[in-house]
Amino acid sequence: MNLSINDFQARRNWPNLKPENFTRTSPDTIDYNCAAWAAGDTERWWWPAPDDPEAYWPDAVAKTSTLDAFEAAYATLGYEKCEASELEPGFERVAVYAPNGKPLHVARQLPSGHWTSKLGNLEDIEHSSLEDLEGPFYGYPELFLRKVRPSPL
Amino acid sequence: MQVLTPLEEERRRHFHDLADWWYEATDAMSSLDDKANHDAYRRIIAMGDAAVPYILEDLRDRGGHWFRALRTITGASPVPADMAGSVRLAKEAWLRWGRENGLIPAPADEPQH
Repeated sequence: MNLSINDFQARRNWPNLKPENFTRTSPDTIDYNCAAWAAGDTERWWWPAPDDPEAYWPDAVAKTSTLDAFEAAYATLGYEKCEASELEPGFERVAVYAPNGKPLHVARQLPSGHWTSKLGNLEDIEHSSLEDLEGPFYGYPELFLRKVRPSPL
Repeated sequence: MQVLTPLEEERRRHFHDLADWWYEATDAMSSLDDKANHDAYRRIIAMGDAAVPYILEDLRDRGGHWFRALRTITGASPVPADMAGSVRLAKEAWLRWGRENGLIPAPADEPQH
């Protein structure tokens, strides 16, 4: 494994994540997290945390750990709800993992169809599919959002 | 070099055991509630003032989300409102507060890594 997380943690948290399915794409840091990374922000820790002023959450969006709040937060960036995770040319997708409706992780789709995820305090990884991070730790993707993919400069 | 009493040594070891447990269990989480509700984090808060120098050292060295524990134990709020939303600035503000209160050494006195 390339993660600084140890093998025991990786097997416990993400039993589908195999070395051939992912690559590490950043060092570990607590400057930002999965929700920020999905939003393209590497300066803040995005999470609805009313007791934690060091966390960022868009103004006017409820600071509640619900799918509605996550949908509203990403709507501030132009995302809208969609039904599926398949690659759709011209669109960028994010997927919210939310066991029992409680968001725990957000991943963003890359133009290749692969996904990119920041794993809490740990590294960013590029992984082949959403299934790679499914399991007991993050649960399963329950909300998909999309927006028109920005054109490369 | 600082000489620790046996009690201080025991407290430091206890803190590090709990902190290692907490990191191992919560490193991959984004939810700050879930991080703070972990048993190890609660036990560190229960150590009270004795834990604060160790928390600040760990914040400096490993950079965990110790802010809620620090606020709960100390009652202090050294992070200005205009720095809200930034973990990096919160870390800097708490380390400055720790140095100003003599709880961690100033940078020139810190061990070289």
